[in-house]
Amino acid sequence: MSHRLASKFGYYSLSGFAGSALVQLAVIWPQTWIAVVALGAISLLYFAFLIICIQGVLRGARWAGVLNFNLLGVDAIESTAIVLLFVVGGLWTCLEIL
Amino acid sequence: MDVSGNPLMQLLDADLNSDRNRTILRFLFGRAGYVIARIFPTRAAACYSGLMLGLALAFIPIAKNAPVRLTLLLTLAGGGLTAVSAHELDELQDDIDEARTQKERDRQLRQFADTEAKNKVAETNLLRHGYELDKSLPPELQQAISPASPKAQQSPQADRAAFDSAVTAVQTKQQNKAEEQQQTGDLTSGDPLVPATTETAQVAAPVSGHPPTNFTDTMQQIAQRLLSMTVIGVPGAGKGMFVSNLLRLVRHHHPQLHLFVMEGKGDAKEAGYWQGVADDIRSIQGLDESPVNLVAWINGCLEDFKAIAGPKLLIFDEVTYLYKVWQTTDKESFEDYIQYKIGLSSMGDSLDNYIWEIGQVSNAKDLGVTAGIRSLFKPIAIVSNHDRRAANALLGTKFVPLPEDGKKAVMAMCDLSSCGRAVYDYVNDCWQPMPQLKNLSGFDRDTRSFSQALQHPSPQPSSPEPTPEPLNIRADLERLLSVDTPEPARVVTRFGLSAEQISEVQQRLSGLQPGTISSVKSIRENSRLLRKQGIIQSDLAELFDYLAETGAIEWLASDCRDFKYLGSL
Repeated sequence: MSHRLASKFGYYSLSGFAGSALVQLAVIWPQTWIAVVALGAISLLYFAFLIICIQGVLRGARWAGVLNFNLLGVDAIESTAIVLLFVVGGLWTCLEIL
Repeated sequence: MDVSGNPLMQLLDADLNSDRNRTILRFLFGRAGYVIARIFPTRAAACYSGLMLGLALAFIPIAKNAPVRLTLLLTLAGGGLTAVSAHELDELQDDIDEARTQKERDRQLRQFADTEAKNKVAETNLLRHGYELDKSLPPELQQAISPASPKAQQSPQADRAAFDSAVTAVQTKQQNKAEEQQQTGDLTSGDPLVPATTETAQVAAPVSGHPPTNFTDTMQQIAQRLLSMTVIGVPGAGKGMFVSNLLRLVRHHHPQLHLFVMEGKGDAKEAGYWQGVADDIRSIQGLDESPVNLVAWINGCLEDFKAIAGPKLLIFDEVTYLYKVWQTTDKESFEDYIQYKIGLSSMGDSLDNYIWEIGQVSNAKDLGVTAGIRSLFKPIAIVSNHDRRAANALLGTKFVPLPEDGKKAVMAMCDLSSCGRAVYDYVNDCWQPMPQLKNLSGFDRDTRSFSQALQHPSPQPSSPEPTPEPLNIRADLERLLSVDTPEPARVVTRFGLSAEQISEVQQRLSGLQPGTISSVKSIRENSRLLRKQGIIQSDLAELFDYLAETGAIEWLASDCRDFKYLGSL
């Protein structure tokens, strides 16, 4: 185990803190809820897009052939983890504060 | 002491240097330092502590339902701390990886340098002794180089006998000739060196207790036991005459040594120093050339010198000027050359590679090196009583030690010398009056006149230069009796090699153990004989690939890597 793993964990935690801070800001300043809802929608769209892409690649769809990134590779997992932690951080803060 | 009522001013006004305050500060800083060191003994501990603190700051206020404003502030602070800690951890890992890579690279370089040095020695021995094997090679390598089957041995043995007899005949002829010359006294009169008189031999001044000797004998010793050296002398002291005479002796003792001369003066009057003895003479009129052209010329010459395989000697004349131009124009390549010099001073002896530098000043700074590196090259210094001021300046440096009586003793020796010169040599570690040497350039700088020999360039029957024929005969014999058929009869087939060459390589590799092939390849790639026959490395690489594919040889991945590595150098 190298320090790189702990460093990654720190960076991922940051996305959770960012989601949490956004929710806390929205409690103080309600207009921020618009941004929270918008980010939630974008996150949902991201996951939907990811699932569609994975399905396409697994089924061997012709349109999936143009995807030049590895869906099951590290990049996809990392970006998914960042979005997921952002959402989890925000949700957890919502449940605790509200 | 007037102390203000303000507590802050009280603190500022406090006499920090008082014994009491010093004790308190020592206690505070001592304790604080101790605590910090205990909590964060390493950089990693500090990073992980920051990470954990950041996580705690961010999450605990939320879990404890703290006020939202406080929670937001702490979350932002915790996030910042986490970001910094994560970044530092990344940097820490980068440093660790870099240190590890550097260590591995150093290990590989050391390993490669060792292998390369061994291969060079093996190659040199192979070239020098013909078919004789280097006893330091591993058994499998000896087996690979020697003919594999008894049938194949018959022909080389017959060749070997012919080779030995031919070489013996040449050597006997040479020996007889030398004996005749000695008997008739021709050596004394025809030798470029006129032996010093008894008087001059007696007045030599030892520096550290070594007995003084005849300088002619010293020159013989220098020529026999070659070392890299620096010849320093005041202008017109006779550095060129000394080195040119010495080169004739070197040629006599080491006929196979490749003499490569680089001289930056470009004076036609002094061309005679090198003609007829050097294998390569590179000359340039340094004062007329631009610095860029001069450095390009130096780099080109050095590349050519480095490319020469086998024993070699570089005579680098006018280094004082050339080094100065080189340093100011292209410091990087100059540093590379200094590294090469250092390498030669430590490994050059076993490889029979040497450098002789000839210059006017001995200051390490002017030579572009430290005094320690300068001392790696053996010193020779020549001073003349024609320019006492310059001689005193040279004697004032630490390049060469002075006799007990100091500079005056050296100048007295100059006065005693028939040519008005004294010389210091590293062999005897003493100053001696210089004997009259033969002026091989044909121009006497003392009298500013051309010598008789140059005015009437008739052939000299008693030329002191050893004839190069024995060398050529030996080289021709080696080439003729080498592994392959002569070039004219060669029919080029696949890989640019003849069928005989392919079968020869295949035969020699057949008895080889896996993992040892790279050593054989290295020897063969670098072999002068191989180059003369026009076999280039890419052809050989293709052949090895082909042989590996057909199963004729087993070529490990490490061999392949080594080969590519060697090839890229």
